[in-house]
Amino acid sequence: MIWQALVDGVLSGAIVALGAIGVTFSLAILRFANFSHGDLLAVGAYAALFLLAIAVGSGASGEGLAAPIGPFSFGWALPLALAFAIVVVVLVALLLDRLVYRRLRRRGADPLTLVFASFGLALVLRNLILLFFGPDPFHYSTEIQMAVRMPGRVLVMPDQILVFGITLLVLAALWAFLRFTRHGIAMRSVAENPVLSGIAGVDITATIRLTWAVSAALAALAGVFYGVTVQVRPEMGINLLLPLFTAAILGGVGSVGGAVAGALLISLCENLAALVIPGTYKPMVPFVLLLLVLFFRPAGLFAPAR
Amino acid sequence: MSAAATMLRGEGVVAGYRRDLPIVHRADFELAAGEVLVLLGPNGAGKSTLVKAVAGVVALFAGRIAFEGRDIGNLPPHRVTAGGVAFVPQTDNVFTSLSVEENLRIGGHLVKGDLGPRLAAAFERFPDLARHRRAPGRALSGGQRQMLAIARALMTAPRLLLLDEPSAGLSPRMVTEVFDHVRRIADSGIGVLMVEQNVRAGLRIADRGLVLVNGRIAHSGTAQALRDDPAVAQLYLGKFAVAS
Repeated sequence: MIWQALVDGVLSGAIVALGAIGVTFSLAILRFANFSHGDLLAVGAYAALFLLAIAVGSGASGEGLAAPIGPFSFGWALPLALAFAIVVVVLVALLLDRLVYRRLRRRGADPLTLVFASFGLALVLRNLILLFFGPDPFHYSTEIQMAVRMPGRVLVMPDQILVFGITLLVLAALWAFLRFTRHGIAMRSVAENPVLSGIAGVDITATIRLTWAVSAALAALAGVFYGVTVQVRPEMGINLLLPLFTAAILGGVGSVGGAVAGALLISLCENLAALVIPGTYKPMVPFVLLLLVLFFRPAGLFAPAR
Repeated sequence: MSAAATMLRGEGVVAGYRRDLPIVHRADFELAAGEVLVLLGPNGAGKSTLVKAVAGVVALFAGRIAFEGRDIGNLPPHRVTAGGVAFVPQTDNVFTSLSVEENLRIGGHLVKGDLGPRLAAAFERFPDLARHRRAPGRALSGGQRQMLAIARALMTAPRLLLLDEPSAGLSPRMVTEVFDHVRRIADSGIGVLMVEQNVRAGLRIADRGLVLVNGRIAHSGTAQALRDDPAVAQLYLGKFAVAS
């Protein structure tokens, strides 16, 4: 039982980590708490759902692009849908920045104004999803898949293993991008000192656009992966928001590794807590963790040293 | 100075943080390639503001700042840098969370292609940095940080280097070392506009100097003339100049 909870915690934590990195980027580089980030995940999940619906069309389930690949529940339509979702969410994020956040930045708006703007945009995105897709939850696939038995009588779905593997690859690629590429190092420099970055020749506006694009791409991945392993719901963004922020703050604002570790820690705690408290109370775990970290270590557990 | 030799020219520069409260008032100055021009004066005189206005960090409210004949006033800092001007601020001039090499790579952000030769040149010029290549900026001493900040600024191969109090907080030995580097940089053909509180050290390596008081240029001349001017020495530069 406990091993199952631990494995489930790690698997779901990986998805939360993808979203939490976007939150930590917005806090460190864009310098405000983006409360619409959760809804960007939902936009990604629904964009993929939209393309899946078109790709599969009215044909019978389990045929053509919808035919399951090996042990997985989905067919080749899903990778296409994932790519489509990434493009859509990146464009939506850049559009929102262009229409709202950039205008506010140019007017010298303080971070609190940007936070309230993000609240408003979150509501807009959520209600647009409700308008076009309705309130009912969806699954990307209704195919039955056989669980894989792991040591310790732990059962894991093939979809979960694949999602976890892809997430690890994405995180490794992101680490390499931030560490070894000029634009990655520029993002880190802007996170620490935007004025000095500009003096050094970094185009701050372009770096902000890049930050939106990277955050949005990760949000799309997280949204689609959540849809693959759980389900797609209009309120999935708001429900994920607290774990995302808790992971980012727990890990230390600006620390990508910290956000990943924070996400894993939260998901592990959630799943372990579900063993001893009723499942309906599970969502309060991130909230308690957030309070604890803000009280005892407000800079986070893995904050980059200055 | 001949007009042809002038690389930086300021005419009637009015600059500051608020339009209704400018800090620099109608400053005129010029600088030639390979020359060190030092800005002197008491605290709050507007020396740093003037240099920051050249760097694009502080707003230019009136007047003109031209580098190699092109207006650079109010350009964003990255475009000023792209135009061949590098700036080393007085504080927060290195990225403490980035390694020494990453700091230099950020300095070379605008450079297309392989940064290897420029990194090698930076480490050859500042061997102490080569020994701490992988160390984070926060692990460096004050002198090493200043060296790193200058090395970072030189990564774009600028034709004009702006320095804001490079000796601040350094030991006398480090001040000598940093200023020797600055002189060598100027001797390589790079113009240097430098704010300095350490008057003795500043005038030792400078070719010319400007003395700012209350945002206005009160005195200007060669370094030797400023050192020998009793009025300047007594009013703004301390007693050393009179004694020497």
